[in-house]
Amino acid sequence: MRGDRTGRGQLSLPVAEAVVGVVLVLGLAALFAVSVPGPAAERAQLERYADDTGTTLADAPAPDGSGPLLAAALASDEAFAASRDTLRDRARRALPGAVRVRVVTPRGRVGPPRPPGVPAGRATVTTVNGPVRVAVWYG
Amino acid sequence: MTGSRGQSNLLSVAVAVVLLVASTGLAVAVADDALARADREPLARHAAAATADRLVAAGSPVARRANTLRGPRTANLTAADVDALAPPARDRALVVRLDGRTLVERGQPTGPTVRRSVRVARPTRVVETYGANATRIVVPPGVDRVRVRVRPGPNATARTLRADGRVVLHDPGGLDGTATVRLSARDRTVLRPPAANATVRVAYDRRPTEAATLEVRAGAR
Repeated sequence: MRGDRTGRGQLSLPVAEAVVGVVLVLGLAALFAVSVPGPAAERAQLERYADDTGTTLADAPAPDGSGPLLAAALASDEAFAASRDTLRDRARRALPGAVRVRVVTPRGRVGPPRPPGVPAGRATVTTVNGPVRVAVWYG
Repeated sequence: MTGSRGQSNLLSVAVAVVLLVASTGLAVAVADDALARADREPLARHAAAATADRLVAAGSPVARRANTLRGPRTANLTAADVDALAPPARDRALVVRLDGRTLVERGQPTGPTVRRSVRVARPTRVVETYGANATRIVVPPGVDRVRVRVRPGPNATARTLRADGRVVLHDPGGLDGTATVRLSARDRTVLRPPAANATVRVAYDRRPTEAATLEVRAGAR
């Protein structure tokens, strides 16, 4: 408009201020919008799955009715090798298809290794033959 | 005149104010919506989690042991049962499902779903009759009591019934009738028929367990 303004590119200050203000306000709005309770709820559900899997393996009777599956499987290395499939089946069948499970016992491991960095639920069951650790994750 | 000073004009100020007010209004709307959503969910999630916890716990009326549910009793679960068991769920919309089948439904719950993996035990009665030439009767492991009916044969008197060598039924006058015998559930038991011609009928419950998923979803009060 005036001759003085032609040599210098000058931004209209109110608009600049308004842009900064809008960015600040929208940033706050974005904080509210994206703070969904996703990760905490997911982790809690995985912990429940791990607890339940540990309890089921430790307490529920074996298919032939002869007492808790885990105790029988940990009685000896041969028993573990024989029960490995049943352990894996039972651990997997309790969980939805998308959930992976790994059971680590003093006599061996069942299930795929846990990928690092993936949120996982963990539970430990104490048995006469040592602790048994269960890990579950969405995979 | 005003060349070297940055100075506003009315149009710029008006545009700036409009932009700021609009974005503030949008932010307030988003925040209000987020707060309204967030307010309900923790309570509904807690109610669902508490209900699921108490249903699968060892002392629950529908559970034989922790995470093992009684099939028939669970099928008859009512909303009143759940309310009595889990006060956080009282007066809330509630849905309880086992393996996809709805057990309890009250209202339309909108909260998150809590899932527990359980096993469901369904009792089946096994009745087996062993006739004259049976030499042994095998009761599988996991059975802690057996109902035994003995009918003596024509010329022999059955006096004693042994289980794993231990005497469990004895009548000097001869066994004839029904009795309940307690056994060790840890291993299988072998019963020896009391006499060659006696007919023995054994009846017991087996409770095979099946994997299932219990889902609980609660809503607002």
